[in-house]
Amino acid sequence: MRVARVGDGIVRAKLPNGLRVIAKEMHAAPVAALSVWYRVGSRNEHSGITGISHWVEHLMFKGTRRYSEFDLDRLISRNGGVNNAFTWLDFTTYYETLPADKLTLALDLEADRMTNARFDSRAVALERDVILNERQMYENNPAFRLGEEIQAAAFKVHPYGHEIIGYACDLQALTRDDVYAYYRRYYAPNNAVIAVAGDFDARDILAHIERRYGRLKPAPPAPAVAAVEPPQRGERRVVVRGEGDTDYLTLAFHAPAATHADYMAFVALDAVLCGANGLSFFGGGGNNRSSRLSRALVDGGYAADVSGSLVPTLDPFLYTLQATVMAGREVAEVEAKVWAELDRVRRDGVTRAELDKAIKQTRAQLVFSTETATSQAFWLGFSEVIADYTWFTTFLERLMRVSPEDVVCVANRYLTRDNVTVGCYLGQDKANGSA
Amino acid sequence: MAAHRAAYNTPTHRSRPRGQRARSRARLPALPHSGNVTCFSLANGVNLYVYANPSSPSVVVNGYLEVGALDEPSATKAGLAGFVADCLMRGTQRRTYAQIYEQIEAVSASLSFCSGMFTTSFFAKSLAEDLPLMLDLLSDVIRCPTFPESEVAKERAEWLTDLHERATSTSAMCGLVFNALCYPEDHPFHYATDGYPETAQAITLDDVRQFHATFYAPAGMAIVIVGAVKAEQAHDLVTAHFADWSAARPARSVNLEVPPIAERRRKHVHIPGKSQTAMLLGRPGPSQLDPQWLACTLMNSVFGQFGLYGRLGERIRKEEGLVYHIGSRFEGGLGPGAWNVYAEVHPGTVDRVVEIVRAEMRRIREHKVKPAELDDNKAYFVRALPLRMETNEGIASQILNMVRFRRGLDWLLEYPDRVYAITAADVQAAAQRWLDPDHYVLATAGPEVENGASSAEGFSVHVDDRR
Repeated sequence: MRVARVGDGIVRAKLPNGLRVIAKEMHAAPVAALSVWYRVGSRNEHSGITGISHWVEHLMFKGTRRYSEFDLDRLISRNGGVNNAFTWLDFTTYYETLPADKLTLALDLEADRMTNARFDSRAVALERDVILNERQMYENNPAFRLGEEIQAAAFKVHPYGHEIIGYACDLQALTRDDVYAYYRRYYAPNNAVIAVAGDFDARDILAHIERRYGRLKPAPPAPAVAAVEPPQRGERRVVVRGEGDTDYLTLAFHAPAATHADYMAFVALDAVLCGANGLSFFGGGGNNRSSRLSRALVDGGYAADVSGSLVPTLDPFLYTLQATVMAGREVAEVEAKVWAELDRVRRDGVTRAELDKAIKQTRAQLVFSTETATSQAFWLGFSEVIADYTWFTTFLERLMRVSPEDVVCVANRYLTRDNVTVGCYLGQDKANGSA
Repeated sequence: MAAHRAAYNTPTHRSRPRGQRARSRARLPALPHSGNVTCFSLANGVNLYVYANPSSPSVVVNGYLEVGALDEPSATKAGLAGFVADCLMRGTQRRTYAQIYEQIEAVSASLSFCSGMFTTSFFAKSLAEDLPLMLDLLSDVIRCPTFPESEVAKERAEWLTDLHERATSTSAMCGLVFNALCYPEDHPFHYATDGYPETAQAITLDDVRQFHATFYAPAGMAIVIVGAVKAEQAHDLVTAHFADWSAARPARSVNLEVPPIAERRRKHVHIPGKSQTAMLLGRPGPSQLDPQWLACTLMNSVFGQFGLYGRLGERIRKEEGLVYHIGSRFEGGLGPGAWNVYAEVHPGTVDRVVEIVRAEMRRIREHKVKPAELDDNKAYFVRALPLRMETNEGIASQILNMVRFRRGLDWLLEYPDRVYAITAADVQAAAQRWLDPDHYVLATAGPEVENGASSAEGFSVHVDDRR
C-alpha cells in the first residue's frame, strides 16, 4: 500500500488492487464516519437501463453471504450508528457514522458487500416495487416533474438528460441478471474510493482497511463515458401543466464541469445572484434575502422564493435558477425580471464589495459544511471522485483569486438566451383561469 | 416564510435521509450537564444556558419565547402567531428589512423564527466572531419590530403562496385532515398553526401589532448558546440586550384534554394529478411531560423506527415492497400531540398497508417484545448519544429539550440508566395505552380513492373532493 501524508491532517493511500483511500483525523468528538464511493451513477446509464445504478444501491442493503438484510441495518443501529446511501449523477455513495470505536464494523460491512452482495431474485423484484413507489413519491412534487422535463430538453446526447431514479418503463423491464451484471462491472476496488474521517489514528485505520479490502480482486476497467453534449444553439422551452394554482419557473443553463477554469467564477456569480449556498448536497446555507435576485424578485413581489444551484460534476451539467411565482403574478413577469438582472450583470458587472461578501459567505459556509466527521468524509470522498482532494482544500483560495471581470466573463459565456432551457410549471387550478 | 424547495436534481437515496445532525470541531468535554452548562437567570425571567465549546469556529443561539398559537384569540385568526413571528424581521426601530438581511448575510449567518402551539423558537448560527451582532439582531427583532405596512403586505403575499402550495401537497393536506379528525373543533390542536387562506386574508395589521404588544415578553424566555464563547461574555451580551426588557403578558388558560377516539374515523382528500397517497393513521398521544414518555419512545422505536423503520419497515417495505418510506412517531411536546404511522403508498395498496399496521399494533400490544429486540433498541438509544452531540446545534437542541420539558440538566447523565431500566412490560404497557388497532383516525390525501379502498370495514368514509 502506498501512503502519503498530504497536509491538513489528510492521509492518502492506494492499495495494489487500485482502491484509493483518503483519511482525516478529527478529534473533536468520539465519532467516526466512513463513506465508500463507486464511480458509477446515472452518467453511466443509457436508454433502456435508466435507474439501474440506483437499483443496485438499494440491493446493496438486501444482504450478503455474511450478513443478512436484517443484520446490515440492525448492527449499525444497535451500535449507535446511522447508515444510508445515495446515487448521484457521477457516483454512488454508501456511508456510516458511528461511535469511533465501532468504525471497524462499518469497514467489515462495506468490504463484504463490495463484492459479495447477494441479489436474490425475490429481493430484486421487491426493490423494483419499492423504487417504483419512490418514483411515484417524487412525481407527487411538481418540481420533480418540471425538472425531469428540463433535463430531458437540455441534454440531447449526454446521459445527464435523465433523472437518477430512471424511467418507469426501464425499471419494469430490467431483469435480475441485468442488475447483477451491472453490479459486477462497477463494484470493485479499482473503481472505488474510501473516505474516512473522525476520532481515530490514521495509521490504524489504514491497516484495518488494507486487511479487509486488500484481498479483493480488481475488475476489468469500467467502460468510459464517451458522450459529449454538443453546444446548444438556441433557447429551449418546456411547459408542464398540473395540479394546484402555483406556477414555478426554472432557467437551466449549460454550465462548466467542476474542474473547468470557469467554475470558481461561476460559484462567485451564483453567490452574487442568489447568495452563497451551503456546501452540502443536503441543503443548508444561510438566509438569502440580500442577493440580487431575491431583491428583484422576492422584495419586488414577483416570487415567493428564488434560489440558484451550481452542482459540481464530472462533465458539464446545468446551472439552475428556480423561482416560485407569487400568487397573482404571471410566470412571464418573473422570467422578465430574471433576464433583467442577468442583463444587468453582463452590462454593469459586479462590484468588489459584492465579491468580498461572496467570499466571506463562502468561508462561513465552508466552516459550517465541514464541522462533522460525516461531512468531512463526504467532501474528501467527493473531491477524490470529481478531481482530487485539493479541489476542496483549495476551494476558498481559488475563489479569492476570482476578479469582478472573471464573473462578468462567465455571465457572458453561459447565462445567455442561446444556452438556456426555460421550464414553466403552470398550475391549472387558478380561480381566474389565467394559466 | 416561503418553503425552501430542494434543487430538483437531488441525490436519490436508498431511504429518506434523517434530519441534519449536530456539528462541532472542539473535543467535547462531556455530555452537557449541570456541571458544564452555565446558567444565568435575569430578573425579568429570561434564562440563559451556555455551553462553551472553545475550539469550535461557530456559535449557535437557540431558544424560545413563551408565545404561540395557543395565544391566538380564535380560530378565525389561525396562523396569527406564526405570521407575527414571520414578520419580526420585516423592520425594527433601528433597522429596515433590507438592513437586517444585509447584516446577517454579509457574514453568512442565519437567523430564523418558527412559531408553534406553545412557543416561538429562534435559531441563529454564525462564525463565533459574529455572536455580538447576532444577539443584537435577535434582541432588536424580538423587542422592537415595527411591522411596516408594506413589508407586512409582502410577507402576507408569501404566506398565501405557501398556503396555495400546501393545498397540493399530499403530506401537508393529510396532516391537516389528520389533526382535524383527531381533535375536536374546540381543541386548539384541531387547527393548523400556519393558518388557512381565509385567516391569512382576515388577519389585519392591527392584529399583528396587538399580538406582539400583548404576548411578547421576557418571562419564561430560554436562550441556549453553544460554541466558541465564554459564559461570562455570553451573559454580558444577553444582559446588555435583554435585561431592560420589562414587558409582561397575560396568563394563558387553555384546556388541552382530548376526548377519547371511540371509533374509526377516515377521511380522504382528493388531490388530482398525484401519483401517490399520503397516509397518517393514529390517535392523540402523550405529552413529553408524561412519566411514561421514554418507554413510549422506546416502544415506538421497536414499532416504526429502529434500523430501516422498525417492525413496520421489516413487514411493509422489506417483506412486501409496498412503500419506499414508512414509520411511526410520537408528536407530543408540551401538549398531547398525536402518535401516528406515516407513509406514502400507491393508492391501490392503502388498505393492505393499513391491515398490516393494525396487525403489528395488535402484536406489540399482545406480546412482550423479545429480550434481543428490546436490547437492540436500548443499545441504539444509548450508544447514539455521541452522534447527537457532534455539533453545536445538536448540543443546543439537547439542552433546550432538557429545559423545555423540565427534565433537569442532568437528564443525559441519567439517560442510560433510565433507558436500561425500561422493561418489556413497560413497552407493552405503553403500546396498550397509546396504540389501538380498533379505534383510530386514518387520513389520506392523493389521487381519487380506488374501488374498494373506500369501503374498508367499520369505517365511516368521508371523501373530501376539494374541487
